[in-house]
Amino acid sequence: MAPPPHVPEMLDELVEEILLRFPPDDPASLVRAALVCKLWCRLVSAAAFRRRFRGFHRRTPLLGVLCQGKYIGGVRAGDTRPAARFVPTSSFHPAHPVRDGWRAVDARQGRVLLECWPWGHDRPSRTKFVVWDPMTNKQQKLPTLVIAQYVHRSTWTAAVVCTAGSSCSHRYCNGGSFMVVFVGIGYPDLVCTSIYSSKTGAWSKRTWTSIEALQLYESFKPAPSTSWGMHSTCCFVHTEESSSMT
Amino acid sequence: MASAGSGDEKAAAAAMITLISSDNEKFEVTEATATLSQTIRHMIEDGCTDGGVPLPNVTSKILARVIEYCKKHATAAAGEEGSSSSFSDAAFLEVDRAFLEELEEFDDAFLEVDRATLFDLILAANYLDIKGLLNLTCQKVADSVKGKTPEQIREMYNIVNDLTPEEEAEIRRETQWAFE
Repeated sequence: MAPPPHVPEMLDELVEEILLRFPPDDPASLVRAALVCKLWCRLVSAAAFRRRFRGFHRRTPLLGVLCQGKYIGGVRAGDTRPAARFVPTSSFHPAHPVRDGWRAVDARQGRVLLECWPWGHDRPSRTKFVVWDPMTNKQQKLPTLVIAQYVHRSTWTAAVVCTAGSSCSHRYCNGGSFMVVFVGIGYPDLVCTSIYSSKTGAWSKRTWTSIEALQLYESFKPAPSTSWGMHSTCCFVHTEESSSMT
Repeated sequence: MASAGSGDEKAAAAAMITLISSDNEKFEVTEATATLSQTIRHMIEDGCTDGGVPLPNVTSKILARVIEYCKKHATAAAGEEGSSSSFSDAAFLEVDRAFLEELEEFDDAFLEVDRATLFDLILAANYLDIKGLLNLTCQKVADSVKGKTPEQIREMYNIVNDLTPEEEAEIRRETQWAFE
């Protein structure tokens, strides 16, 4: 067999130029690259590389969708426990793709908002949320939220958003501070809002707004890439993952 | 250079530049072709191209390929500029599309080289600061390792694995999903 052609030694910066051009929707290819040698591992693991990678590809890769279904282990008839399942659309597979006993409420900027079953129909009802990062499999439990007695389950929704708001490109904020905004419509025609901040680790005091503010609810529509709410079955997880290695 | 008439744009566009490879071969190219390289553009701006531009990092074999690329892309750029005023919008778009298709075909054929040449082209594109060529060649390498295992990548590009078994095991453990 002929020996492989001599390949000139590549400068570090040029190896990085090549790695930058790896497909953004195939994060596994970057992981395999990290196993080639120390230099490649160091390059793809660096925070600077991740920033460049995100900047280079601009669009955020779709890693997968969250589908809402029934509890996998449910054997009893009428078992209504929910399960949120991460279905990959890329080469990324989370360590724990199925979240039994949880309902996906929202997904944005790489974070997923899940609501814990069972949810009570008593009034005032209480509900528990976690914010889950499928990439790192880290999750943060939120303190129990007491939902005002006039807010029915079918009227409320919630969203998890980056604290920096529109001033953030959301390219590097994964793992940073976030807010969970809860909005429900109560009787008689009042909008109840409560906001959780990861900085304070607490829900804000409930605020009630008048009927005019219903317009706020109308404008609180999901982003094109994200569907959420009581009747949604899918939440799309967009995240700017490149490599979570350290 | 003074004889070219610094104020006369047409004369400047037709000006020829001599590039000298590491093995002392001379290539005469138009300024429009040469200035696709930012490195050479700066040298022209600084007026240091009299007597030719020595390129000690680029062999004649690679320089010939680089010039081939620059000629084609400089022609395409000039064609786009020149056609904008003399065609209707629809005709312009048609010409534009034809240009792009032709350019794409050229690029594909241009990249049909062995790996050593490809790497030499990357080094030359980097040294001469030709963004289009650097992008094209780096993308080709990135595409070539698509779906390949670390072992296959090492073999393709003669890379020595200097990761310890422990380091390898740790990476695999942390990113198990990538190997399922």
